[in-house]
Parts: sequence; C-alpha cells; structure tokens
Amino acid sequence: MTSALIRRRRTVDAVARGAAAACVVLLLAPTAIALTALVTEGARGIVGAGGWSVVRACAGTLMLAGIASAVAIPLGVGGGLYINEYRGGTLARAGRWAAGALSEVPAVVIGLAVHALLVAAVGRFSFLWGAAALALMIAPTMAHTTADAARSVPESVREAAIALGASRWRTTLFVVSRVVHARVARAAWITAARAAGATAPLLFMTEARDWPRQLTSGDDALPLQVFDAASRPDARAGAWAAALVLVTVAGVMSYFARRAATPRGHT
Amino acid sequence: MTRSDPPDETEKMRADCLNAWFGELHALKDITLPVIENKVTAVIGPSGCGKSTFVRCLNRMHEVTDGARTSGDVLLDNRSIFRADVDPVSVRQRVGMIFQRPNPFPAMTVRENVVAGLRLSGADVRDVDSVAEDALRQVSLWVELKERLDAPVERLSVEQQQRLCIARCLALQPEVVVMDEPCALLDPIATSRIEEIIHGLRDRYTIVIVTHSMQQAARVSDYTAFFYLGELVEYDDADVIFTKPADSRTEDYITGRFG
Amino acid sequence: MTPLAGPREWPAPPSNRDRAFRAVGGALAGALAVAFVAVAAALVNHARGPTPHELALFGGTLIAAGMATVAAAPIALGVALYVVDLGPSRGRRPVAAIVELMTVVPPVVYGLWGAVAISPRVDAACASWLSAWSDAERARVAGLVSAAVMLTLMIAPTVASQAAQVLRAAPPGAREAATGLGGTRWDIFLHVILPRTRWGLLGAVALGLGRAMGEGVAVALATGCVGQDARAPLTAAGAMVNGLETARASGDWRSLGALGLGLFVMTLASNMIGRALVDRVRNARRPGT
Repeated sequence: MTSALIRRRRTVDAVARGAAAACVVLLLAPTAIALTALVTEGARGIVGAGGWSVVRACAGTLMLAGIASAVAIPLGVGGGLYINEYRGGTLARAGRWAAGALSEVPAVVIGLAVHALLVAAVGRFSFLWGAAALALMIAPTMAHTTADAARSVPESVREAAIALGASRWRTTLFVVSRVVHARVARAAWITAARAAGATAPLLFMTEARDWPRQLTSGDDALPLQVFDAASRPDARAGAWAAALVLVTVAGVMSYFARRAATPRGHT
Repeated sequence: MTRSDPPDETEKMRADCLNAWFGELHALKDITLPVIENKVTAVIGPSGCGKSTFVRCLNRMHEVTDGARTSGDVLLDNRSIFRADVDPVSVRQRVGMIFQRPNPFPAMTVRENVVAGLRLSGADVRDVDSVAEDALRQVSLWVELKERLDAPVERLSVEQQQRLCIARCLALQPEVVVMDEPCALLDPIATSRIEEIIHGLRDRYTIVIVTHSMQQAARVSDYTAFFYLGELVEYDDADVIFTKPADSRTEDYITGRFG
Repeated sequence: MTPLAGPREWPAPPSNRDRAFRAVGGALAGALAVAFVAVAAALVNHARGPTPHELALFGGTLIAAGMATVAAAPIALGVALYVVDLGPSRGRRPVAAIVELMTVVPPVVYGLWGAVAISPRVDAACASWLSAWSDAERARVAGLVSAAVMLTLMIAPTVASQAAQVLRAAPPGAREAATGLGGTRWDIFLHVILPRTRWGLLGAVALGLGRAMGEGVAVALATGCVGQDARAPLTAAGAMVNGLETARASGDWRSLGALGLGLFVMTLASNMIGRALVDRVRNARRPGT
C-alpha cells in the first residue's frame, strides 16, 4: 500500500469524523439556544406569574403520570414477559404484534380513541380518563421493551435453571426478570417521563371550555398549562414557567432512568 | 458390551435400549449402558456422535429441545425416570448437570448463584451461608471467593464461573453429576483444576463426564464408553479401553486416526 | 415406553402455580391485543370518508414530515456515528446522554419554542422572499416550513438514538478484526458496519418519519395559534388538535375520526416497517445463545 493512499484514507477519515462532530453541533446548538430561552424565560415566568398554579399543575402531572405508571408498568412488564417466555403461542404472537403497533400510535390518535371509548361512551370527562389514556401509551411500550430484553437473555441461562429443577414461573420471575431488571427499570422511567409530558391525550379528556383556558380550573396538568398559555401570546410567561417545570420533571425522571440502568455493584 | 460387572459395584443408573431423536435425526441408537455408583464414567467420541444427547437424556434435559423425543428407558436406582408418576424436577435435582459453557445466572452475586438451585426449587433455605460455604469448599473456591461473595458473578473468570456452576449444582446435593464437556472452554491449568475437583468428588457422587479429550478421559475415568455415529461402540474399564480396546473403531479413534 | 413428543414443552408438567402464572401473563398479552382492536374499532366507528380538505391535510402531513425526515436523517445518522464509532471516546458518553435526554423533552415544549422562536422567523423570511405570492399561499408555505423545522429538531434525537442502537448491534468481533487489519474508523464503518446495518438505519429513519407524521400538539402550536383562525391548520395531526374545540362545541367528531384513522394507518405502516427493520438488525445474533 502506497503512502499516498494511506494519507488519502487518513484524510477521508478525518473529514468523516469532522462531519459527525458537525452533526452533533448542528443538533445540540439549537437545543442549547432553546434551553437557554427556557431557563431564562421560565425563571422570569415563575417569579412573575406567580408560582402557585404551576405548583398545582405539577402535582396534577405527577398524579396523572403516577397513576398511569402504577397501573400500566406492571401490566406491560407482565405481558412482555409472557410474550417472550411463551413465544410461539397465538396469544403471545398477537400480544407482541399489538404491543409493537400500539407503542408507536401518535398521542393525538390515542387521545381520540380513548375519548371515543371512554368519554363518549360514559358521557363524562374525568381526570381518570386522562390517566387511562396515558396508561394506554405506557403499557404497550413496556411490554415491547420487556419482551425485547427477555429475548436477549441467553437460552443457556434458562437451561441452567431447568437443570436445577426449577419450575417455569420461578425461572421467569427469579432468573429472567432479574436479568432484564435494569433495562426494564430504565425503560419504565423513560416511558413515564414521556407520559408525564404527553399533552394530546389530556386535551381530549378535559372539560370543554373556552380558549383561553382558565389556568385555575380543577384538573390541571403541566402540559395542558403549557399548551393553553402558549396558545395565547399574552400568556407566554406562564407558558415558559410551566414548560421549565415540565422539562425539569422529565429530566429528573430520565436521570433516574440512567441510574436504574447501572445495577448496583457494577461500575 | 461383553463386560460383566464385579459384584461390589452397584449400578446407579442404566440406559436401556435408549433411542433419541431431534425431529427426523436419529441421534442415539439403542444405547444400553450402566453407570456405576461412586465411579467416574467418561463418554468419548467424535463430534456429533450423540455424547451430549446421551447425557442430556440422563436428567431429562433432552426433552427441552424443540422436536426432541426419546424411546427406551433410563433407570435411576432401578426405577425408570420416564415413568408418568416421576416428577422430572426431582430427577433433575438428583441428577445435576454441568454445561460446556459456564452458565451462572447473570445479575446475581456469587452467593446468590450458589444457592440459586435451592431457591429455584422452592426449598426453604435456612442457613444460606453454610450451604454456600460447603458447596464452594467442594470446588475449592471458598478461599478464593470468601471475601467476594457479594460480587457480581460477571466479575469472575470463566474458570471460576465453571467451578461456581459445579458448586451451584452440588448445593442441591445431587446423587449423580453429569458434566457435558466441562473443560472445553478452559485452558490446560484450569482444566487440571476441574479434574482435581472431579477426583475429590468421586467418593460422594456418581459422575458422568463427556469429553473430547482422550487424555482427560484416561486421567479421570474409571469406566469409558466410546460413542460413534449415535451408537455405543464399546464400554469397559478405562484401562482396557485405552490399552487394548476390543473394537477396531475404538482403537482408530484413541490412536488419533479419525475424529 | 411411549416416545415423548410435541413442541417445545417446559420439561416439567406445569404445576398449578405455573398454570396461574401462564393464565395471568396470557390475560395481559390478550389485553394488549384487545386494546389494539378497541383503538382501531373506535377510530373506524368515528370515521367517515375524508373530504378534500382532509385529504389536503394528509398531503400537508406528508410534506412537512417528509421534509423533516429528509433534514433530520443525515444529522441524526451523523450523531449516531459520532456516539458509536467516530467520536472521540471522551465525547461519546456525554453526547449520548444529552441525545437521550432530548428524546424525553415533551412535544408541547418544542411547540412553545416553535411558536416563539421558529415560526416568526420563518414568517419574516417568507414575507421578504415570497412577496409576490398571495397571502394564503405564503402562509401555507411558511406554516409547512415552520412545522418541518420544528419536527426536524424533534425527531432527530429519536432517530439518532435508534440508529445508535442499530450500530451498537453490529458484531463487535467484526469491528476489532477490521481495526486489526489497519482500517481507519471510517473505513470500518463504510466496509464492515454499514453493509450489516443499512436496513436497520433505514428503519430508524422510518420510525422518525412515523413520529413526525403523528406529532400534533407541537405542530398546532408552531404553525399558528390554536383557536385563532389566523392560519389554517396544515397537517392532519395539527388539525386534530386545532379542531378539538369545534368538535366539542358541535358534538361532531367525524372529521377528527377521519383524520385520526388516516393518521393511524399512515403511522402504523411507517412504524411497523421501521420497527421490523431495526429489530432485524438488533436481534440478528445474540452472543451466547
């Protein structure tokens, strides 16, 4: 190989690395600008517009995401384990397909469907329906991720359990779920963070009302507050304040996700 | 198959006209073979000749595989392990198994791995620490690992993991230990350590070991069975097999002419 | 002795606990399937045939999401490459962490930022460059471009993190072997990693497209103030958010149903294709199985 060729390959390599770094800058620069705007405007908004409504909306969001997660995460994880451990069965295959399909359905469509199924059928808007819509977003994602994680558990590990005389449920609950635990916990936090920020499903669930929405109405959540205030150019300060709190909540949850991904004792 | 057992040797297990299939593939053909109590029986033969399939039948692991089935019988203490009223779980607890690739349970500590068998079989383990210590001593890991019982198992070397798997098996107090090429992934020093462990275990357990290495079979076994193309060609005292085998195919194999 | 036959069976006869365990798991998996059917049925029940206006909205969805995908794909693939292969080892982890954090930023926050920072600038640019156009045309172009810019920023982190997972799934042995043969990192990517992962990378882009098509709240916010008629809603998902108030007031949800069903089908197709391509690479070969 001639030295000229080597030099050319080095140059190409350097250009490629530079291009990749440029892509990172291209993605992170607008984000940095947006983040700066969010922090400065948000801080001003919290101080100016009075923090109380934000605090209440924050409590509402945590409750909504908490209820939805508490219901949907166990259901999704259990379904995901079944989908993988009993793969080959019709029910498992149907569940796998449905989980994959549902986990990517747009939030607006989920909102509309849950509205049709619950609100229109029962005839009342409710805080709980909002949680149900969020649960419908969380459970399929968790099932899909759990099945995926369980699939990566080597068959030799299950074989070891069989050879020790383990029954199937014990193998699944004590061996397989132990291995997937870190990945599933991480996915749970990420999914819950996304649910906490989801706006569209809640828009379909809350009371009909005039725009702009009264910031003080009963069932409040941060995404709704951001959405409503952002719709009115005169209420932007409130929007920034709520957005800052919302991003902080999502950020804290994704920090927990990162921590959950590193099991104790492993560094 | 002409050997007659001396009267002081009792048969712990016996395969009786055992056949095994994977789908259409007839992997084992009419195997009849005794496993003598508190002795080491080695199973040798070229790759793909049914050695692993045979030992997997001994604790009903064969049927785990897709499309696998068997006919014939395997006796454990003169009782069939395939009878309808026999719980395969109890068979597997009496006949423990060590695999070629060490398969400790990931995401568990050393201690949890050693007692995992007891936990998984639903036993109520009162004194976890003494069970773990006893099992680890039997595979001479206790001194090495007593300070690291709570370390994740991934931190151990491959050889330590294999010994840990043996300890995990012994913690269930099996009667027979079946080893499927336990040293295939280990270096010569690690291999000799495993062989020492086998020597130490032979008084208390009946051992069946599959191996590719004829030297290993000659070193550790009391009896040796030579499998070829799914058939049992010859079974005898290890000394006899390795010095004056009756069958020409055995002789060809152990002298390295094929395989 | 009867042969033991049959498909993969757990080698022990199932105990009562095994049966209960299986029943509970099966019920959960079944519930997922039922939920899917229920969502689809609810949408079909709500829908009627789309009007020309709604068809135009689907066109807007394709244009805005398509522009965003075309713009986001190279950036996102570059970021994924940086994170997995090309970046300096010190830079990779922080960038990966930031990109992951960006995927959880709520759409409504992007929408707020789009309404404040992107949309006015695009409007101003359009006003000066397209002064010959009619107001309605200009507003439509400005709205689509605003939506596309914002969607680009929204989906790029998602595409990047999916693409990074695909790249990480390439067999590590191949990477080491190629390094051992004296390849530069780019050589290795081009000749070893890319051939094994290109379909998966395409799948990551398809997932981004699906997400872009389905994004409603952020588009509604960024392309014109919700509840004001200053600008027509431009994409199907945005129109669903914008049309919510009218539907509530009139009790006629059929227009939203038509939009929702169309979006459901479009995103489902894009996402299922994307997911299948990504998973095929990610689950291709697992060590130790």
